[in-house]
Amino acid sequence: MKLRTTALAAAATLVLGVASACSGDADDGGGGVLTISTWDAGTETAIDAAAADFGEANPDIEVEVERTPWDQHMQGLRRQLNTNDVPDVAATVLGYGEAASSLGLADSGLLAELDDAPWAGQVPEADRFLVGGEHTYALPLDFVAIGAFYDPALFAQENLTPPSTIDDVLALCQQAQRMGKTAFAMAAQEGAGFTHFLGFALAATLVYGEDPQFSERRLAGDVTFAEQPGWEETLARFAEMSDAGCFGEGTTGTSRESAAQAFAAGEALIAVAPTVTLPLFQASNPDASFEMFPFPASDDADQLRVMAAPATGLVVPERSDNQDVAREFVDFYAENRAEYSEIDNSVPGIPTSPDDSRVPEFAESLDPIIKAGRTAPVADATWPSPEVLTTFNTALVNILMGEEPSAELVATLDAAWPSE
Amino acid sequence: MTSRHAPLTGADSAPVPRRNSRRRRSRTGQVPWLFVLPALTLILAIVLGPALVGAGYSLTDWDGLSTPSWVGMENFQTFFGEDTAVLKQTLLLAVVYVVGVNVVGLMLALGLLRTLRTRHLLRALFFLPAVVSPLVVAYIWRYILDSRGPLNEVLTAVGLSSWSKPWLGDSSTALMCIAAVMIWQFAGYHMLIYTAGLQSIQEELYDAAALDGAGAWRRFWDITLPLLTPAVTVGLVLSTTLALIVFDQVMALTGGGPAGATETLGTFLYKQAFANGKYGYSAAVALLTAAGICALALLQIRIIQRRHR
Repeated sequence: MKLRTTALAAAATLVLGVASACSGDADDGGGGVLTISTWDAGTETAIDAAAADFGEANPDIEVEVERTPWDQHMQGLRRQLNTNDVPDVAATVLGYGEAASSLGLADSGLLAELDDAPWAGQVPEADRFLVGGEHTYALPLDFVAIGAFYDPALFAQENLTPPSTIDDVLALCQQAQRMGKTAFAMAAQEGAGFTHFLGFALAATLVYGEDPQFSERRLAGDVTFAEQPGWEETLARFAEMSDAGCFGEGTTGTSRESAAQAFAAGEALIAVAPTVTLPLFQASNPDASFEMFPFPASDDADQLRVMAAPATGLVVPERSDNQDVAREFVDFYAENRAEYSEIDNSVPGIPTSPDDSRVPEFAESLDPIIKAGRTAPVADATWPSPEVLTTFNTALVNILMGEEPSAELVATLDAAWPSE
Repeated sequence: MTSRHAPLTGADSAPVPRRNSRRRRSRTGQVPWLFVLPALTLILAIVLGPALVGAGYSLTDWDGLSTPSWVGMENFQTFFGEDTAVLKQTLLLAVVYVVGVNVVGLMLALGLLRTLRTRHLLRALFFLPAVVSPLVVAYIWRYILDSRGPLNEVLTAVGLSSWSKPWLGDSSTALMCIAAVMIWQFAGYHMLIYTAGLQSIQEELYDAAALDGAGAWRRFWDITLPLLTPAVTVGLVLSTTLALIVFDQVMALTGGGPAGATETLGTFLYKQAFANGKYGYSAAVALLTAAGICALALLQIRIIQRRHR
């Protein structure tokens, strides 16, 4: 159950297969067994391909990829890295947000520094925090962005245009109701994710548009959620959309799958979600060609920001007794990242050139905004406890159930923030 | 030949020194313990040991990674200060489930006791959900109870659209839906317990009561119910224990939502440990849960046995 996953990891489990390493017999860094442990994505993944290629290039090294279900992997990894039976390379979520996210593990001294890796200097400045800040603890595997999915064919058929301001959004909500449809696919059942994806899309502009360094300042204790008015605005705008009938009825009892089916079937016009969610929608309607547009949270187009960041990464446990080979594998993956990202149709966590698009083709309208640096970190990856995301979700669900947005509701986020 | 009654003489007849007798007794006393030792060791290593370690962690702030620090009773104070809603929800669910599943189970057992020809088939049908994984049952019901699911579609189709609602997303109905799903699944199981109890009651007692002019209700109250006490005890203890540690059904149906309205002790302590990394706090809640279940089960047994006497 899931217990709870980070915003992006929840979606990432659907499509990404990232490997991690398991225990290994060191052989002075020259051979032995390299164990990689990852979550089970149900299909062959980029890491499987990388492991096979690495094994082929290094015949004296036996590469083993171990897969476990997402929850089991994320819960077990945290414990495993604290024992002597550790993988040599592990896949995990970058930043904070999960019990076994990379920064949480690094803070506990469980990850090896990868500062000398040839790719470490290529990590974009905006993503440095997620890989460790001053030091480098993880190779970012994929880059994701949160935006609004829509079906261009349906929009053309209904003579609709993607909204570019929040007023357009509210007008579209009215129009959708007249058409007998719902403007936004919304699922607020526990763990469904749709609530906080929209919350994040709103906060990207309303919080980070005003205070781009909010995450760093919140982590440093220089500011609180309550002191940044953008968070109350975020809740207020979410409530405004709810009151305007943007989400339809019964959202608190709607599952992620049900909402995804409604969107894919054209019963809901828009779904706000990360780029990696596309396969969820395509599974319900393989014939549709969905695209994405940046979600407008205000009437000021210049203020619009997109939450975009690397979501998952490879780490080398400090206790791995095969660290040299593990580092070689991570470097090998980084060197061939463009090739491997094609396998799962993702975008490399580190661009191979400045001209590279940071999003897949279907989300190209987000690219100019991302390249212009108008991005925000995916919020929960900067929240040191998963409880903060749970609280944020609870606040949004409470609003869907009729509670008024208020400063007190925002203060619950500060209350969930772990004390030192 | 020595008479059986002849006084014993010689070395054999010499009184055994008391010290030797004590030693022999002590040696024979050790034998049962040696037989028990392997099982005892296993229980200590697998059950009691970890439980004691867990109890120890409940007094720390262990996060699963770093060295735990002693926090005394702080975890327990936090629970009773901030998270009592979880306890209330668990108890409410337990009361509804325990009453519901036992009443329905007893009614099914009584209804299918003798008269119906198809009773064996019906018993099997009612028992069937109990052999299915609770997770599978819960996922099926989640689909049925979804806002866009079959139940609301049927209600709308028969003109009762005003009755349709987000059953699992409304804080006023979600917990009761979980209880209903649990009752649906386990009523057949309790029916079997009560059927066994009912079949052990001698028919002559009913015949004698009927001759004395006792009506159906009187016979049920004065014969059936008192003689069913052992079955009721089993039913109550089993259902109470299940309700207090319920996890699968809550996780699959609502995940504890909406907004924590269906969070129960089982899901709460799981999330605290494995999602939030608060192993110490989770251990404290687990300890409270275990103690509560023991206390309630003992209380139930005492009350029922006293009434039985």
